Amino acid sequence: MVKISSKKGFSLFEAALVMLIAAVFIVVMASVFPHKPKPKAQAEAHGRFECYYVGNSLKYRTVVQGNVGSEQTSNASDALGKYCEFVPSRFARYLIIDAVGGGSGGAGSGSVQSMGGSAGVFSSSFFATPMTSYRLYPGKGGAVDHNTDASAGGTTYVVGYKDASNRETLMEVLGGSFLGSLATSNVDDIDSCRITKTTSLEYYNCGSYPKCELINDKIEISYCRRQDVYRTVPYDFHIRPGDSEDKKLDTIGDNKCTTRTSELNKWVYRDISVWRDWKKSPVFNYGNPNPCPTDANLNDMDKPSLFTMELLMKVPDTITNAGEDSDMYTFVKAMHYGGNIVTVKPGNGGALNSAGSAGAVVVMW
Amino acid sequence: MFGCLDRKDLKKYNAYTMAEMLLVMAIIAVVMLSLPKATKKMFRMESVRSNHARYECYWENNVLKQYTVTETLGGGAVKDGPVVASTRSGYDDVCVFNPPDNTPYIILHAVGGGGGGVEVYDTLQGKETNTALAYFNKEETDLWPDWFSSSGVQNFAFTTSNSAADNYHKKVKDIKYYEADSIYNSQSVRYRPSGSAGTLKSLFFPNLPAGARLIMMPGKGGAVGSARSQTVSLSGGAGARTVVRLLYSGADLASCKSKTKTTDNDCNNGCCDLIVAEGGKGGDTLTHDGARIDSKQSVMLTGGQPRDYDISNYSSVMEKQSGFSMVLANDSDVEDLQTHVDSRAGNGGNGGNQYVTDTAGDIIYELNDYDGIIGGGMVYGTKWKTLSQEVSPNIYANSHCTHGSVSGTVWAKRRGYCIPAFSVCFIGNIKLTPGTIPGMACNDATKCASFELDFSGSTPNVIPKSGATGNYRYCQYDTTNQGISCEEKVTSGTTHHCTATAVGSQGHKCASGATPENNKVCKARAGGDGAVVILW
Repeated sequence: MVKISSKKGFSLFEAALVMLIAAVFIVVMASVFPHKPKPKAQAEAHGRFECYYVGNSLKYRTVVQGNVGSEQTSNASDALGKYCEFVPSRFARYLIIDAVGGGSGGAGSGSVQSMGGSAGVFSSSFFATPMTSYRLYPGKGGAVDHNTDASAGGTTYVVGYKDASNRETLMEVLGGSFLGSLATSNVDDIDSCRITKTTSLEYYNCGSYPKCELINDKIEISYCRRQDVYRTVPYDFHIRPGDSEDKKLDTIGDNKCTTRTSELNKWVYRDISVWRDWKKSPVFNYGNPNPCPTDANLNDMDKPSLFTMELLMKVPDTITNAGEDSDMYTFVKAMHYGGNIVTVKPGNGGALNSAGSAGAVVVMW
Repeated sequence: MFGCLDRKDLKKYNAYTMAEMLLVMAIIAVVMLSLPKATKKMFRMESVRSNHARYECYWENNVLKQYTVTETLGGGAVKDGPVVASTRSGYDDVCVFNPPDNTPYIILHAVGGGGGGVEVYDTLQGKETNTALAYFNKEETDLWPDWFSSSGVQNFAFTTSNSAADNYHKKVKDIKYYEADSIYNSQSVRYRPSGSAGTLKSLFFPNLPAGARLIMMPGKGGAVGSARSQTVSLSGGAGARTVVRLLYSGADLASCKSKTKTTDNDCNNGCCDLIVAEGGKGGDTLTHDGARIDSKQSVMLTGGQPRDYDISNYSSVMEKQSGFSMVLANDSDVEDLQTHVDSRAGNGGNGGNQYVTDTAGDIIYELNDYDGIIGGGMVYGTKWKTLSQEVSPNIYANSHCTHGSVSGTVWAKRRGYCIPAFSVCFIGNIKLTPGTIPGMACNDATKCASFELDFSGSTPNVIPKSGATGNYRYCQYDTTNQGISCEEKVTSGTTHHCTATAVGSQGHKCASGATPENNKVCKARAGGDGAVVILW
């Protein structure tokens, strides 16, 4: 017979008590374990897709977690032009799209001015919900400026696709304008305006001087119409393809009396349009070939000009004879992206006698 | 016998009973039930996302500061700073930002310093009294104040006293003609231009290169341009550009921050411009060709601020917004989360300005409804309505004026509303024409019952008859239109008053609401300093 009792063992009560205490420990530890050091956070799986021109060839390249893919050529095109097709990773939590328009061309032999071209507009956008696919259309660089509209850089487009039939233009980024040309300029390109001459007669100025301001995308001229009437006239700044250079400043009337000067970026405009509020139907003809007034007409009440105004175009410190650097070029260079996206200097204005650089798009996640 | 125990023999041994075994199993069950709770918590992955945070680099009283605020998972925030980086000016001042690891993205906003406004220590001219009839002449609709043009009046056939005679002759029915007379006091307002805002630039990117830091040099705002009198060219100071640079590991901070602009070689050596946000221009009142370009003048109607009436564009004096305030998170209820960046960051400073508030005037708008008027008799037959009863929206909606009622005597100039019916004023076959029969008056009872015409002089003299004397004045005869014009005492039209409380002895006031210094100048402001905000 086996004697299974032992005087040296724990009693059942003792064993149960131990287990009970152990159970309490485990329960307590359940609230202690989570306070152990967290696992080190892992880095985001960042990457980027670059779309740019090398010459007339549209290229693209993908870089994921530092792994640089090979440069590919895209021959796809549609009505908007050549494009790169980009399909985001399904793991991408967001997309950042940077785009720059084409740079404008630098001055050529046919240009009155002598300076480099301006950079394309740069835009950086954040998209929290990536779409199914994207088409990226970098704008082309502007040609050498010979006082033609062709010197403006091309517009860069980014179009997103939810599906094959559901598309949306997400970005439309303008190209650069040659700052010495009204043909490709807008009010934002004007640094300042100033009235340099004005009729001294009491018919208009009431002893005060007209004032010129750049406000709300317009050139506003304020003057005394007569003693009890002060007026502010907003001048739109219209660009009309096909207009010659001296007709690029469109006023409230149809008077386009703006001429370039030999000074860098200075334009002179002589006004007659405000006579519309003085004479009901002024039809002035100053004679061919120049239909516009001269300074001599300032006090000529039969063929008057209210004032002579100078428009001084912006010449930022960043623009030189070598052309203006774009914000996109500054960015990709600073980030040490390397490759042709840096080499081609996307969006930069052209140097003297050189075309502007084409635009580019960089998608990041 | 081994393995064969009698039930009663069990009591002889120290073995577990079934109840004891069940107790043990119950305890084990408790332990097992608690284990998953512990193990699951032990091995559950915590979120790897870094907390969102905001970093700011900004000027505060000419001291460059930086400040970081980080959210906590449980809500609220942890702040770090402010840290005084330097008290020196210019490019010696920099903020240095070390990006945290594992940021899902980085958003960077930078704005250049705004340009300064201009002020001139000069006196104002006194208030004047004018009429606005010129504005409302239908032949010069482009002279109407913008606020009036937008009132919807132009959608109606609008006439003035100068042309009412024509309308009378037309005797058009079912078309309402409006007649407006305006009597008001005005004040020529002088104000100087503001500076322009600094450029705002924004940049998104997923992360910074490993080991790289951002250094920031926010530009200062331009100073105010001020002069005792405007006899020389005057301009506010330009705002300085704001520069953000990438400083790679191993690159020298002192060398990098000292550069005005980095070159390709600098960038290859680890010091790269990332964002350059240009500063704004200063306000400008240049003198050209020896002529004095005075500050802009505007005529305002009484009581309200010039911008309410917009005869001249008042916006030139106002502070120019850079838009940077839109990127500042200043609406948080949590103190630590609120931005430290001035809301004026990058703004162009306002120009000096003055206007008068203690003048009081009346603006009278009346509707002359010609419906049903047949053959004249308009002196007594005209129905008057207030324009505000007919026009929507209320033309006073954006002004400080209040609707009022008739107070005292108001004279409204009207011409041609009484046309002597010469066609019936004959003596024999002699038609009454001016000067034909001296001393003879046209006294048509049905059409011009209130007046007599005295042709004794070279110019017909209009004489209000008894009973009309007190209601008409300055009556004249228009030989061209063969009509009588007078100023009529308005008693049935509503008069709208625009009044304001006088400020100071002359009632001059600044756009900011402050009282100008000695009634002469309201201070211009310097441009807002540049700033940089980084979000992740």
